[in-house]
Amino acid sequence: MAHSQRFPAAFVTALLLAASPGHVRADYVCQPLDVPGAAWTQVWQLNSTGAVAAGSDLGGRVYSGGGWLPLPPLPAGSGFASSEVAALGINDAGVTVGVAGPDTSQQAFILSGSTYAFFSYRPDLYTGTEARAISNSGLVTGVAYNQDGGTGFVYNPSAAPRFAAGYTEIVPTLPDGTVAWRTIPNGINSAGQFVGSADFNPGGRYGFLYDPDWRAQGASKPLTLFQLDGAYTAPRGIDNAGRIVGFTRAGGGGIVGFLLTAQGHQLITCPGLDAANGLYLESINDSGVISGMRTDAAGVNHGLLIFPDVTLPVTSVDGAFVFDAAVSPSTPVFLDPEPAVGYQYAIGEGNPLFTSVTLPIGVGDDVYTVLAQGRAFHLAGGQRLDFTQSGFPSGLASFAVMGIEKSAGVDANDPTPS
Amino acid sequence: MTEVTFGAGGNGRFTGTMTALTPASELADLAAAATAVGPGQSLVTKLRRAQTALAAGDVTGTCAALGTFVAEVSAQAGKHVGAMLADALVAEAHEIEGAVGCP
Repeated sequence: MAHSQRFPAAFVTALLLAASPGHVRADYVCQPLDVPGAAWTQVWQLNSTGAVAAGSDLGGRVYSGGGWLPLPPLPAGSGFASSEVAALGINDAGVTVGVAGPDTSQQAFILSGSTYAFFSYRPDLYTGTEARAISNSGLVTGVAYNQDGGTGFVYNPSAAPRFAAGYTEIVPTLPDGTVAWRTIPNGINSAGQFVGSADFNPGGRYGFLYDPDWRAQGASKPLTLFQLDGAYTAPRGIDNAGRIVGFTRAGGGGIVGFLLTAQGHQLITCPGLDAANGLYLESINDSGVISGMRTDAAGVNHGLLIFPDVTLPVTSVDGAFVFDAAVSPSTPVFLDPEPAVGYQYAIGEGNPLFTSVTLPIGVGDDVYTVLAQGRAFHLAGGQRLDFTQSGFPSGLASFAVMGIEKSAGVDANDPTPS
Repeated sequence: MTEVTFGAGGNGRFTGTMTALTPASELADLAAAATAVGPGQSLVTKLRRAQTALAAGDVTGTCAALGTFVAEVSAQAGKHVGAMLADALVAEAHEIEGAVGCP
């Protein structure tokens, strides 16, 4: 689904004014997502086609098309070990960005197909560079660092609109003139708006939203600093509707996730999962699915996806789960339980037709078969099957999903969110 | 989670159902998908044979029929059956084999 809604300055103001007192209500379901066989997984950006950029002890990985794929081999002579490579960002075209090298002297890369383009920002000043995220127009957010801190930038290698070609340095400054000693720009949407965090001494950690069209929006400056409830705030992802996710200490305890919309902010925890050392939300895609990671009591990172506004069945009749929910055209609805052994999905009397289905990532081998009116479709987890573009221009009243391995161990009768 | 979207029109609600499939219903769906696929009625005939065997509680016969279905689809892949469709049909047949308890 394509959201084209802009995120004007007036909306930003309203959003930020609403940020402290407002708390939206929605049920979120957390689903673990780890690189198979890895001792630790860091899940970063999730794009709107269901691909995920990740790092792990096994090296960088991208989930795409139903499987976790290792990053292509590094160029001969790069000097980097495959275990020193992490994918941090991925846009809807699959162009991936990340870092390679030892922690103190990383280089950033843009990976298109199997071709790496390495870059470092101001190597005369900084010992390492991270590429954090990439927009659909090819704008890359990143940070260059040394022992004294880090400087954020936007890198525009292909002269995409809204930013000067090359590098634009981001310098968050408090009203008293204190300049951030470390700036981490991160998620960037199709309008070039991006979010990140800025650390001040004194002042602590602030979140920021940068809007390249700030003049047209009537704002006084491109960058707006904010904190949720006056606490440590680190936004990391922004979608094309302007929804922002990240992590914060606004809950008064440890680090938890947050979702910030025009309706206010909501703290997100995953009660069924061990996030004793923090829950870090890194991106949100246009369906509203959030990616991120948690750090458990032992300090180990694990990836996860978080699904919004999950609709649970209201009852079960003769083995069929029955739903009752308001829906609107093209707005995703997330149904629980997960398809355990194969399901037939059917609308009720008078309901609008199904127009698409997207099946979950991280269940069995992530490869499904969708059967509809005598036609079969092979579908990977995270990929959208648009019925209206697949021979059913008006949509479908029913379809079946198969291909869920029994070994996946999903309980068809347990719709309990984790 | 399964993510679905809906079109315009209707009553603006989803009051539908998710019904767990049984091997019999999966076979019926697979047979529907295989109808008019490949040369003649050979593929769907094999699935009808599997359905009949399954209805009779004949696991061996069900598995044998599914095995011949998989073999023929695989042989026709890229020829009379599109490669992607063949993959989908074979994958589903294997799932049914697993559900039935084929060795």
